[in-house]
Amino acid sequence: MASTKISALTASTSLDGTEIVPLSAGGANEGAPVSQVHAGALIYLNADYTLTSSTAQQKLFNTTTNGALTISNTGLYEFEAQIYLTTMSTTSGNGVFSLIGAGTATLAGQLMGAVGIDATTPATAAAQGGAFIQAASVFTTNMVTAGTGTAMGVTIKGVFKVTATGTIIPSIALTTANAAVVKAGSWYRCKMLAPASTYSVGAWS
Amino acid sequence: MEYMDPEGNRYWIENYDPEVHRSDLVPVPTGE
Repeated sequence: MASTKISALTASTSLDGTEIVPLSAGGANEGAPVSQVHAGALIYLNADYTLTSSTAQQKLFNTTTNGALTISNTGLYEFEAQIYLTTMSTTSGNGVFSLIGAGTATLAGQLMGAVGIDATTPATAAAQGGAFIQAASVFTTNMVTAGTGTAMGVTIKGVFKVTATGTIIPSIALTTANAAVVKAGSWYRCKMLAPASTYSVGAWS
Repeated sequence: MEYMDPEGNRYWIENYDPEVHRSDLVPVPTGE
């Protein structure tokens, strides 16, 4: 087949995410769906997951055995997650998110924030509150304004550098132990923004 | 099983896997 300049290709007007784009990975040419290139790494709870009643850090996702993501390249990453917990303790408080849990990667340069509602019915509109943490992989105390409600909805996003490759295990440490349930639909995604030591992308001057 | 790192942070790990979990964790005796 004759080669065609990319600029000569007909522009698609109806992408649905299943289209394959060419990639060069480790010297080999491969293809990947547009949706995967856009999303990076993604994990999604397709069924409720009951946590162990403990205040220790534990994985948030059992979609895979370890709920762990292997990071194979150092660099700057962004992440975002939405977590919905029920069956939490009635003692005031909620919990803290950990970027890495018991994973093996080395992280630095972290900045993340959480905003959410700690109430028995987060579906009822209410003021949202939360916390930020810098230069640490885990929030220091309740990441959402504490309440005695038994459920919590929270959106967490931020950036971190991976300075040594390994695994990360998005985790939670409950403030008060209870067999809380991470509800189906909770998700986390993570994507590299730039290779190591690259701190701007685009025509910055 | 609950594990602890050298800084005293605790982790609940159902099935420890040395290829997935950090290697400096020690099991926390039950009831501690």
